[in-house]
Amino acid sequence: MRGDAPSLPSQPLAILVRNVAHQAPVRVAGAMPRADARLRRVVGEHVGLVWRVLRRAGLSPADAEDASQDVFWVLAQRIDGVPERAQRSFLVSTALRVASDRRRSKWHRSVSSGLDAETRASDAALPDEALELRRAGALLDEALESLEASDRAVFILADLEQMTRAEVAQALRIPEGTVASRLRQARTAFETSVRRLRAQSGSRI
Amino acid sequence: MSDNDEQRLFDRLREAAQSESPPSELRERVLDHVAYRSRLEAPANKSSYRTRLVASSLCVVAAAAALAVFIGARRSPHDAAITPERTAPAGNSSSLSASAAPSQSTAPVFDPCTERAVASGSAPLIDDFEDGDDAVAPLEGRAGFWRWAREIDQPGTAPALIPLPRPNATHGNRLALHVKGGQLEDWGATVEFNFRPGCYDASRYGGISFQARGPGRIYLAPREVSVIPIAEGGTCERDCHNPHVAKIDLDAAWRVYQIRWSEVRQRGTGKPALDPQRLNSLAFLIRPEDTPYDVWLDDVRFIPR
Repeated sequence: MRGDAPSLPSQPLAILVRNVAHQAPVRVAGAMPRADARLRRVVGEHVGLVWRVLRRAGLSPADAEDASQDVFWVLAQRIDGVPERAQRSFLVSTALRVASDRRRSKWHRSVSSGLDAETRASDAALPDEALELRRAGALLDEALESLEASDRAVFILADLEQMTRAEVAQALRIPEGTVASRLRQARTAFETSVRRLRAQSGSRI
Repeated sequence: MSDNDEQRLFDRLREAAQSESPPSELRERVLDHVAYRSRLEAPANKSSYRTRLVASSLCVVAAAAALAVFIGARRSPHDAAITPERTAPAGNSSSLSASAAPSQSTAPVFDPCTERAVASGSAPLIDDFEDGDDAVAPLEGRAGFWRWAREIDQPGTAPALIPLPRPNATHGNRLALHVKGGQLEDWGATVEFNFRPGCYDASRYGGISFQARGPGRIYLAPREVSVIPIAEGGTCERDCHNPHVAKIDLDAAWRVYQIRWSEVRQRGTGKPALDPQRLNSLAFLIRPEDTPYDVWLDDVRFIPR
């Protein structure tokens, strides 16, 4: 294996080495413990929901994977303090917050979301049904981008995840009346955006 | 578009949202991640870390006190008043000589290689990860801990690495290191360990061999003490953090890669070859342009000369 001439700028590596040089070693011996049975069950039940919320909140698949781990880690730390009936709304609100934090980071703004759009737009040889779903998914995410963050969260939970108004209110910690008004605004904005996008793209769906 | 068509369209969009499912292995990855973080946060680890921290602090204080006593004993009041600061001779190859630095910086640079472990050449394995921990194999005086650091980690918060079950594991080769992550855009990520003490003589060996699985690209970087700044335990004052590297394009299947010392090079022309007598650390670098990344590493070892 030959090493090509390196062309690494010094500054990024400087940051790299500085960052790691100050970290204390952490020794983790032995095999990992088995996860708490409750946590295994919660993950099994809700990993799909958390994944979809993260994706609809604008994260790429790779970012959504990392973010899913962060979300369940937050729950794992507080699992004794979150009643079972509140776990779903806790996970959803945590997922929205984690997604928001990630989207605010500079690398996401500049790179990650663009890559995901490109990936989704490239139609491989798919069966008609799968191809149409893929295009629908791309249109959906593009339309969601046009919503205000607060309206988008309500729309994702109420319309896409079919949560009740009370559940959405609990997850977002807002009154049910606010849920209703935001949902109205979100639906109007979403439908307008879908019509505009279909007109622009020549409507392949 | 009729109202019916529009309603059908919106139903289709909802269906698309609900039909998207996570990767099949995500559930297990989440559980692994939680178990992993739990181990790092466990009281035993915290207390041992605190113990090390306190011990390290005491050592630093003791060393500083000893140094102060030593300097005080050597320097008389007259010396302090009349003796000029020594300057390094012109033409010295050390970068110390090049600048008219303030007098404080002309103190001799501590060479971390005054205390170093030396490989005998008889036990080339660095780590095969089968012991399930993040420590390198304690052979030939080698010691250190594998780390995974990313640009998104705050200093001190990068996750430690413990081996995970290897895809297509065999009875004798069950575990490997695995790092996976999304798009990065600043400096990227690294998997590495620092030799302890901070200088290792691997000159009895001819290079590094390891198994890896991508796809993707990584850079192998055996780092000399001369590219590490003085403040971080090295000897470098200028053009620091310019390690010798070899670019490696990984395959989607497991492959064995062998890199000889002569195949790693520094950025820039006329740079010296790697001196394997003065190794500070061994790193696998992932550059932002090579992210997202999904890299497995296993069976890291030295190769014969």
